[in-house]
Amino acid sequence: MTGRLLGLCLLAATAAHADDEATALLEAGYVDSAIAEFEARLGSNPYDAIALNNLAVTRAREDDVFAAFDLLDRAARLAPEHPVIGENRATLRTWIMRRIETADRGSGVVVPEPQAVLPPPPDLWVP
Amino acid sequence: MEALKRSLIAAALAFAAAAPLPAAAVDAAAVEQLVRQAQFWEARNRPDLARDAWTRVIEADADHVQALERLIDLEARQGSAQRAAEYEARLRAVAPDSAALQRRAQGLPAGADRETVLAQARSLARAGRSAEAIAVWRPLLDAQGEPPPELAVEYYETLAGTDEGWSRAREALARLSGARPDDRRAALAHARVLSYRAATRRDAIRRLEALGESPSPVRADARVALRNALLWLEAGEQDRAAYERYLQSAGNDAEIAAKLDGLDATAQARRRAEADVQRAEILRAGYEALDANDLDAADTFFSNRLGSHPREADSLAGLGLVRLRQQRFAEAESLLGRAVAARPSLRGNLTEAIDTSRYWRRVTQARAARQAGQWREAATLFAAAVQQRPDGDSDVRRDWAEALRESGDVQQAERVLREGLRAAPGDAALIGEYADLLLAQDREAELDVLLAEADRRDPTMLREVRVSLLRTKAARALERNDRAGAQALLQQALAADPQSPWVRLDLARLYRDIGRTAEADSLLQALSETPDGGDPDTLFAQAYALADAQRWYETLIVLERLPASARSADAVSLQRRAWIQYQLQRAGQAAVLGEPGRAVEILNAAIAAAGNGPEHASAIAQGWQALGDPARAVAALRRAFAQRPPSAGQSIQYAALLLELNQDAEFEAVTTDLIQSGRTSAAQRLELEDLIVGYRIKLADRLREGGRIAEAYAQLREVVLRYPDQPRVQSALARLFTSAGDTDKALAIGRALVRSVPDDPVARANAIDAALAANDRESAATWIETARERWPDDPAFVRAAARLAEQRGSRAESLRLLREATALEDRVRRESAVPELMLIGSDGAAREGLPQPVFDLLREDGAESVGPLLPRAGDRGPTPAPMPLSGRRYRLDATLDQPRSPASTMRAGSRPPLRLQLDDGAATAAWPGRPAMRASAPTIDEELRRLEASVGAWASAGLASRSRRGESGLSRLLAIETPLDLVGPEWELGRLGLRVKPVVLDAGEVSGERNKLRFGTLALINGESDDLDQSADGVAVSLSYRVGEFSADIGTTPLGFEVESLVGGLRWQTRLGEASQLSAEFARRAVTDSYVSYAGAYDPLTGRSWGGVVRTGGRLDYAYDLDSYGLYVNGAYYGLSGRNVEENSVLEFGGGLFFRVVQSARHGDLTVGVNLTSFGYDKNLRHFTFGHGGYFSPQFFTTVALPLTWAGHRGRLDYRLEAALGLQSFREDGAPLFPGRASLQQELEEIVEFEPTNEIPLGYESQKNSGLAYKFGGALQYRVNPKLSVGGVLSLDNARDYEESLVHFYLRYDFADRSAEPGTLLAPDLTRGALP
Repeated sequence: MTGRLLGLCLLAATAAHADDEATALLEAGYVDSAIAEFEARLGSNPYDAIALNNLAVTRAREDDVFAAFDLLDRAARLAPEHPVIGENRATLRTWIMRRIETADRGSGVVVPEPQAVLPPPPDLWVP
Repeated sequence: MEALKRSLIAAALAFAAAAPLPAAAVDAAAVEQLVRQAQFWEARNRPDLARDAWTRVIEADADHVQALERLIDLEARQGSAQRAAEYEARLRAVAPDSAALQRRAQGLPAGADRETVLAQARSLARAGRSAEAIAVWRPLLDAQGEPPPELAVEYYETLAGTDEGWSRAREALARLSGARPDDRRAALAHARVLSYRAATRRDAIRRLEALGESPSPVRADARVALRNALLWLEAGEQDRAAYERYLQSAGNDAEIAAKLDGLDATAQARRRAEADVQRAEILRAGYEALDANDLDAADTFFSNRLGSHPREADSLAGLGLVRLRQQRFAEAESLLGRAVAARPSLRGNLTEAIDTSRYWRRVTQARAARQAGQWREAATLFAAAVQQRPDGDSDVRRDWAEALRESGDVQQAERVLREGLRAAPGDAALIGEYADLLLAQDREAELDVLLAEADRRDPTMLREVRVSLLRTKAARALERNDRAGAQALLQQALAADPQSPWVRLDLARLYRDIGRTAEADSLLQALSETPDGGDPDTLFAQAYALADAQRWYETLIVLERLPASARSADAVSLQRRAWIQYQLQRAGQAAVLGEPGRAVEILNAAIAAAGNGPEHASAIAQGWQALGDPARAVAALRRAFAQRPPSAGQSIQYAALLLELNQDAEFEAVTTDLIQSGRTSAAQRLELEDLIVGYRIKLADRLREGGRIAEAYAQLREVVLRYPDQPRVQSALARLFTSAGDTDKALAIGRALVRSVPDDPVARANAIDAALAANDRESAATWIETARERWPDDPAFVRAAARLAEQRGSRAESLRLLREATALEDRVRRESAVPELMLIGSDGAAREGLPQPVFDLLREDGAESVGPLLPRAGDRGPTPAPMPLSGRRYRLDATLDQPRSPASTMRAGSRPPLRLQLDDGAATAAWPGRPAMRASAPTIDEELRRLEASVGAWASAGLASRSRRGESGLSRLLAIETPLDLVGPEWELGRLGLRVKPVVLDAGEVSGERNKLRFGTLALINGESDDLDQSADGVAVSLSYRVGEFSADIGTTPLGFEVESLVGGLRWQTRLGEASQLSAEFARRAVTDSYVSYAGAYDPLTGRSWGGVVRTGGRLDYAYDLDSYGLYVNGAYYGLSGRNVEENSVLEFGGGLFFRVVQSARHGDLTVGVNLTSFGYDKNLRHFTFGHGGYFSPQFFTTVALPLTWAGHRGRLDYRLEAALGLQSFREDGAPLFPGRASLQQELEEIVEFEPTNEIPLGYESQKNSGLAYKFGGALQYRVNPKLSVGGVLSLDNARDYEESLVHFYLRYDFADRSAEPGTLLAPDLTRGALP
């Protein structure tokens, strides 16, 4: 157990350095490089809520909001008490909902009133 | 060792023979001993000693059978036939069945010895004649048939060679080898015997291997026997080791090696056999499943088989047949072809299947092309299919004809149909299509013939055709938008075939389209309740109907009821479409429920189901659009288009997204291509045009905002002609009218829009704009109020409210509302951008520790640094605000003739001043307060800056010098005024202004007899008076107040003047529309024409003062300004009074036209016009004697002038130049010297009568005059900074005997930034109060 904790600490220390680099890249405008850094960090530790949050921030800056929200969802599950992650997720969720409300009118997709959750469909036929 | 043992045994036997024994025991034991001895010697091939031993046995026991038998043999071999015969006789008596006797009976020579027999037997055995050998052996056998022990092994081995003797021999040899474990020969014989039978051969091999291993005399024989056994063995895989062991020990043995190879071959053969069995089983199972139409199972069998045997012909053929049944024709054709290639012998069996696959593959591809609207390609493919099978499915020929028709080749289509009908005259599909073709060409007569012929053949079929025709006609009616016609046709079809689910479907679709949803549902309900409710066609139609209604879940449920056999490609396609659409609904619902993550997850499932195929790309794009991501929607479509050219519908959807994303160039390319391709249906053309209408409106708006009104109208005109009923079109037209200043039309459209689409915020905003532009404040207020209730967060309506407030003159309220609108716009802007999320640093904290300003900077739009930091910052300064068009206008307030009076003073003496009279409107380029025409609405920031400037406080100081040429002390005037203004900020209750204006007047001294006679009452004393200096000074004060459209001021003429008066006015100025303006004023103002009229003069004779004239009355002004030209009219009536001045009145009228011939932001505006001014006073009180007012007051005056103005601004400099040339004419009546002073006039007359020679006038003569006049002027203003301006005004009026010049310098400090209003001259109005 102690060894595992020690390992996690070492990993966190390495990751923190990587995170700083990625953040610096992001702030300098090198968004693609920042994304690559964050993703590399997640590659070594896919349960790093901070990296998930920061990658979400980067994705959001790229207007890839749904990917960002997915990342924040994962981050929030890993660190439900983290205030920044929670706030980021709430902020993005509110924004997405507002955009959905606006866009929904012109999409042509008829969404029934949400009186009850729509049941799952039957299986898709295989041709 | 063996020799020693034998010696010992012989010695023992000899000893035994010599030893005495008891009689009985001794006899039996001795006989037995002797027998053994005899056998011993026989075994040693010593017949002589054996004969002796046997003889002693006979001597001891004369009937000893064995001894008798052996002695017969031995004696015979010794040639003692006699003795042999004796023994034989004896034996016959004792044992008549003795083998010896039998052998003798067989003809063996009595004397034949054992060796001979054995040799014969062995010879026979070697020859393989075992049975005969055994017979030869018989004489050597004992009575029990047992061979002599020493020959037992040999005998039994020979016996084993016979069919019936093997078992006995095996048992005997087993016994022998068991009894004599050291007897290797017995063991060898046993093993060899065992090797003779397959069942025991492996046992033999083991024994022989053992015998062959150890060194012994029989080892070689054992090896030989082993080899034979191995050769004889029907070897299996389990025997491989034995062969390998043998070869290992024996070396190269070709036969055994061949046997081992054979073993390998056998194994392979066995495996092949097993594989063949397995293959056969799988193929049998696959083909059985195929025969049972269990295609899934068959698919699985053959696919699995091909997974391991990809070239197996049978499996390829099987899977090909499965694919054929599954209607996957291309795959079927390929698989069957591969099967034939793998095994050409299958060609005969598969040729038909291959042909069928190829045929239907072509048909399927053709139908896919048809579905994609690629009619030419479809026609080519159908042609190939029909060419392959001219007598194939008539539906294919019909489809071919349809494709030909759709691609425009109607003649070929007809030929195809006729050919088909020649082959199949009664074919319903062909008749239906041909009837359709005839119908389309209005060839009714031929159609009737066709139907009559069909009716004759098959009335039932005709009904179907008729129903089909009715449906076709209905579809065409719908394309023409003739819904009533379509309904009637479909009702006929329903009556003809009430059971047809497709007719019901068509009718239900129509009912739904026209809003008769209940009837549509009823039709569909009836469909489900018909006895054929479970019929696949009915279910299918029902599913289509539900899909039409976008009831996707119900669609899926109904489709689930379709039996597997009825799940055609169309059904599968519909199910997939419904599935994807339903998932999109679920994703949408998840989004609505606030679960965007789940929404995306479901959408991703739909995307996976849609695959990469382009057919569902539209739905996926819709899904992304519903989630507010049109960019992904576009991406989905682009991916699909990369695989297959888009259908018309997809292109239209793509175009719609491009329009939404403002990808104008691509939008134009896509829509133009669509239009030119001509592959759109009527409905799609409508849809496409709908998009183009939106685009045209966008273009028109853009052009309009750029001021290119005519081009905007050109974009909009065709749209209006085509879609006059569309609210958005009407809205766009209203906007255009508003921008063009045609406010009445805009307002009329706006009113209609408010009635027709009360819930459309855009239409409402346009209506409000129109109302505001048309100055219909009541409507605007009503609409704004309801709009703000309904759309409280829409900044457009708050802004409209601000405009309304400004129009009402409440600029402060307007400012407040504009600020509110700005805040709302900011909020909307913030909300529309992706929120800036917080990074978390390596310390786990958000980036919140930064100072707020730094943090704010980071969050600013565009503040993000991109790329490396460059040594010099780029030009990122704020983009200069576009020059508002209003800047090209300027206020009328600062006209050159600012100190305008109702009439100019008349030149002292007999010549009246002929000042060029111009009305306000002629001298100005635009009406005060009229917002300048501009095509585009100003930005809210521009509005804000303008309003903030207009409501700000200011202070100004001026120095104005007005100089009028004239007679000294009379009409001459030098007026120096220094207005000091302080104006407070405007609040919602109005604003106040204070003016203090020191004034100095100097008319010179009345000098000269003639002038003195025309001054005061000096005529009564013949002008004899001194000290007639006419100068005065004083300070005028006034307080101004303005609220909304009303303004008021009250003040005094300069305090310190001879005559002081209270002056002031009340003014109301309003706009009647975008271009019209009306103002009314009731005022009391000083008449500043002359010293007398302005300051009042002192009469030294009477000691009284007179003058100080004020005019009191009202004036109405109306102006209509259409930007490039305008007109104005005005009328006024004033009463004039002064101290000791005769009362007077004046009626004025004026008007004119003006044209802005040049309007240039860079070079300014050039305005020319024509002006007419006319007025008439009741009395002529122009002179300076007591009772006169000293102001120009002709009884008739009119002037026609041509004014020209050039005004504009460059940078911080505002300028205006004016010139006017006119022709004027007036008439004035004669006037008494002392009007209204009868006693003075009478006294004067008496003096003149008394002294008739003096030059004292009694009055003034009337006169008429006409002449040219001109006026020049200019103004220049420089903005030192946004708050401080300095300026000057210069003007010169000149007419015959009249000249007035004005120089006016001013300095103004605004407490607000006025940079938003370039072009506005800020010279103080000298006539009214501090507030203009």
